[in-house]
Amino acid sequence: MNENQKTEPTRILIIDDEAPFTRMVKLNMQNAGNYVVETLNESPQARIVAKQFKPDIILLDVVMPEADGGDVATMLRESAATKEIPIIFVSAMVSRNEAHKGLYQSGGEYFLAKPVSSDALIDAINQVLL
Amino acid sequence: MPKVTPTSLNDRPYKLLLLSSDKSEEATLNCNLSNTQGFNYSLLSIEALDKLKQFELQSLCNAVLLDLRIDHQVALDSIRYLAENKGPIALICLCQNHSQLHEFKDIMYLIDDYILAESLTNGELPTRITHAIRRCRKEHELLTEQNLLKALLDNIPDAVYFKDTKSRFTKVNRAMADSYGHSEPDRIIGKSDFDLFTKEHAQPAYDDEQKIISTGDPLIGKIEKETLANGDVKWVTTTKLPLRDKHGTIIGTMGISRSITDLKEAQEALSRETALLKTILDNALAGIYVKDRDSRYIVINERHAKNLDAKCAKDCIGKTLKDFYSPEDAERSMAFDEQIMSSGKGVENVIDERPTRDGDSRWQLTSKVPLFDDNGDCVGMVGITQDITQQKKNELQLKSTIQTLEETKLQLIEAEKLKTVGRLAAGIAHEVKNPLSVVLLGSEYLLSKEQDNPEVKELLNDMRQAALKANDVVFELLDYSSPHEMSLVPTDINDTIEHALTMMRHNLRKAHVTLIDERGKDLPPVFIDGSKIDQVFINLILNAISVMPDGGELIVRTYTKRMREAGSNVSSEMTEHFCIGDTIVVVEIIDSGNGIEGNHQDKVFDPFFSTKTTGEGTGLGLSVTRSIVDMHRGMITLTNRKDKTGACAQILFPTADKA
Repeated sequence: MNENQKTEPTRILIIDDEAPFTRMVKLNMQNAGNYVVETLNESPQARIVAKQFKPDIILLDVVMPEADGGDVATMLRESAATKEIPIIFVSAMVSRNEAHKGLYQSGGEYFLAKPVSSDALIDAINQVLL
Repeated sequence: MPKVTPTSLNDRPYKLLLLSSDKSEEATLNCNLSNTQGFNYSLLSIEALDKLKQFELQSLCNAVLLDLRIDHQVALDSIRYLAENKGPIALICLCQNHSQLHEFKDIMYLIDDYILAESLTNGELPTRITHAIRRCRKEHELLTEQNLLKALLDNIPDAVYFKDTKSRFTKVNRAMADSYGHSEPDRIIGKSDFDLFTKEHAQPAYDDEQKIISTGDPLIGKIEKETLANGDVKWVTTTKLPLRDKHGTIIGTMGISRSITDLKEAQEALSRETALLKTILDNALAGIYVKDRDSRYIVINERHAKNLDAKCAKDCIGKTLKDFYSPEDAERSMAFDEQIMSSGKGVENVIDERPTRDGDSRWQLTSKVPLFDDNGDCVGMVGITQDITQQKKNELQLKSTIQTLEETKLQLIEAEKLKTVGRLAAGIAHEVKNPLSVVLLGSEYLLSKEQDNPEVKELLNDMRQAALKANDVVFELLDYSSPHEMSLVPTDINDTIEHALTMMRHNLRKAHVTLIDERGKDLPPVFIDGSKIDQVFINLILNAISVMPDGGELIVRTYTKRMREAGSNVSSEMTEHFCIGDTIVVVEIIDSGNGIEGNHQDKVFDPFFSTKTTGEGTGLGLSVTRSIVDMHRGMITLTNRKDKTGACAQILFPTADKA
């Protein structure tokens, strides 16, 4: 579904109200390989940022103060420019069983449990994009 | 009565007293009297009345001969005085003729005889004196007799009456008149019972009397109820006899009635009291009884007969507890009675438990007091016994309910504590996991940068591990906050185990633990919530790994078994969950660690119990595990292996048909 060329870096938008977390993800991803990572800590601006940045995939926190993960996903899918971008919800509110599964699907959505290692993150992105 | 013979007028000499002012009269009399054959006498002459008054007349003489030819007034006084005081002495007046006698006609009735000197014939005087003396004696006797009878009739408290053949009163005494409200006995004369009483009494009384008149048979001691016309009731005991004339012909009846109204009333009061007592005894909700000195029942009510399982109260009289209780119970109870009677001290509200014939227990609440006679000797005892079996059973039930409530309360407090922990966990999970993510990702990033310095690398690795452990702790806390709703699906338990093993394979390999798979085939399905039971196995496997830091073996075994008996190999806890005949699926997860320390066996499932050092575990793992198993109506035990060191976690699941 993506015209994923090996020379082209994968563009990742990470939306989470926790700046230290987004910063860490960005550092790890850039360190791990061919990724361009954009971070956003103010969830209401998700659509604007996504429209400009044009990510291949979005990592989206669930529990956020202004607009939560659900609101953001709805917002993105309402806009033609962003509705096709795959989303992985990254949440602390998952059970142990779910956490053990790594990336899993529930209700048609992708989920990944926090805390997440960089390996697990890359695995998950690859699974969704391939 | 002195016997009179033809030859003698009197056997004893009569003492005669002459009262005369004429000296010659004495000689005249002596002349007259001495001539008569068989008349013995002595004569004393007195001239004046005053002299006579000095003597006790009756011992002095048998007859006084008063010469009326003395002064008229003296004669009158003398007659009056003598009439008053003479008693049985005859008063004979001597006068010249009828005309002289006539002067005293007003008081003639006071004298017993008179002798006219003019017409006195020869030998007449001794005869007249003799007759006068005898008549006076007789009269006096009769009078005395009559007075006695009158006194008796007038003073006796019993009613005495005489009736004619038509049952009309001919004579009644004072008591009779008084008792029927008549001031004078004479007022009743001529009346009959029908005038005094209601017909209810009058008719049978009349019939009785007529029967006595026709048969001559007396009626003795009959108890009669007399209802007076005014409604008053009297009870009497009556004796009636035929009244006969001198020829033996029945001319009526006589009777005597004694009032027994007071006695009768007392009797009735007594019988009322007896009836009242009987009512109380028969209706009392407690058993009431009296025993004699040998513990035999002499009084017992129906309620107590029931307490004894006897047919009726009557059956118990004269019997002892030996006739109703087992020999041991009877002996014990009778020894108790004996102690009360010999000590003279009663007991109050003693509770006694006794087995019944059907093997149940019966409780009784008893009070007993000794019974004394007038001399103060103990002659028995009185007891009152209440069957309190139902109350006692209720009490025991209540006690056990209270105990259950206490236990439930403790459990609720415990559960509430855990809920608080759970709520707290849910709240902090989100807050903690973000920082953990930062630490984890940060340490990973630095690790990738730091290739050369092994010390820094080790340090970063420790940081990474520490973050992961912290994450585990949060998970364990979260397990408490997860809702306890389950979706039970018939499942092959081996599939669930397979899933758990897949997830744990990496951990096992890393810890150098060899898996020995002894899972049985074709197990019956069990009703479980897969995700929850998954957690049980993961917890148990993680625990097993943690007790084998240097590697070891992990046996996973499944099989079915049928509950055959609730024997010694089955714990009481187990029989609560399963019944004989149930098919159960058994899962065993066995490690080769050091096993459980003896004093930890009871606590391993307690919340917050952990053998791990602080920071390595929350102590909630096994507690959660057990609560999940309990929710599936299963059972988990953790014991030491018998074949070698190590622990065996055994989980029993009911099969689908049972669950």
